[in-house]
Amino acid sequence: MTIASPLHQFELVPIVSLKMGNVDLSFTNSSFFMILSTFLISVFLILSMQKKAIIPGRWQSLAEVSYEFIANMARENIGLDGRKYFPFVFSLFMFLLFGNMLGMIPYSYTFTSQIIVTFGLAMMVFVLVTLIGIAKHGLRFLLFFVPKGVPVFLLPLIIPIEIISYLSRPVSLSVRLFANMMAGHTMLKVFAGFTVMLGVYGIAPLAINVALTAFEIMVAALQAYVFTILTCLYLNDALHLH
Amino acid sequence: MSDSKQDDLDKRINKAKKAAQSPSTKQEDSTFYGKSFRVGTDLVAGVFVGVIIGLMVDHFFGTSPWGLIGFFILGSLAGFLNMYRTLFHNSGFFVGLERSTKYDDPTENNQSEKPDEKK
Repeated sequence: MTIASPLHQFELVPIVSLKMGNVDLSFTNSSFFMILSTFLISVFLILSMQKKAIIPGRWQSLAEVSYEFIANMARENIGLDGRKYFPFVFSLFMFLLFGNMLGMIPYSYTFTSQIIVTFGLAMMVFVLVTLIGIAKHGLRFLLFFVPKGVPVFLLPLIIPIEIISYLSRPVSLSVRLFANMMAGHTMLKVFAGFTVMLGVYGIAPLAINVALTAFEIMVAALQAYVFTILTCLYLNDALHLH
Repeated sequence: MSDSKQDDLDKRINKAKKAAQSPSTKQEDSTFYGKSFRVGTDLVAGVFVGVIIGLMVDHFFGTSPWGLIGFFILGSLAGFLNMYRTLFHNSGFFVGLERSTKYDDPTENNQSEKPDEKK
């Protein structure tokens, strides 16, 4: 009896192979699930808001709740001038949430368990925040790295630390999401493997798996939330320098 | 009957208007879980970035191994700084040792009315 590797689920399978020079541009299962999640978000929001009823139905409430959740988050963490960044923050949240949740469906692919996907998103946030900071404050943006009330002779030490701390933002942002998704899904598969191996006694790992699945659904929602709220905090930092 | 309903509606409209004008500063419990999930990667990310910069400096300036050693130490310090900010500041982490101004709140003195909101 062979048991599939718990890491097998992260394998990229090209659906349409496409090569341009040395660059592999294949349409993979990861790309498919990214497009699927974008498609599902659009369908969900467009169809549920179709009626525009004053007393919302189930689907409309769901769409309104997700809108209000992010709108409040943006207002509380960025402030009033952060409203114009709401579309970006909302798209980011929905994309991550749907990506994480689609990954919970058996036989599907979790694209957020790939470091390059999360790192791409984190770099997008990082570059955007830096550009906003520079556009809004010009050279004063560099004061970002000079904390208030630090003695002058400590500045040569503090400024590099601040710069490294700033540069570590996209890394921690992307690694957090990627590691949580990958570890969780690996753990699910490992316990599923135990279930197969133990025969009748497999009921014990099966029970753990049931609990883990619920836990993973919580992690999926929480990580999308953490990624989004950190994006809001970074935007707030760039807009309102100390 | 209809008067009280009218009053109730007025109250709710006023409340909504207030909410739209001044962002509330209340901290939610859910941020606790968010924070606790953040701390570990904060430390690692600082060290990681420090090591990458150190290796790059060594590669381009031929200062091996001093660039790696120096930036590893700086990166670790940055990692601890990240952790410190995540843990001991309300809004998570930001650049600068002090708390950054959260937003230009025109109703800043509202906070003095309810000092018990901050722990």
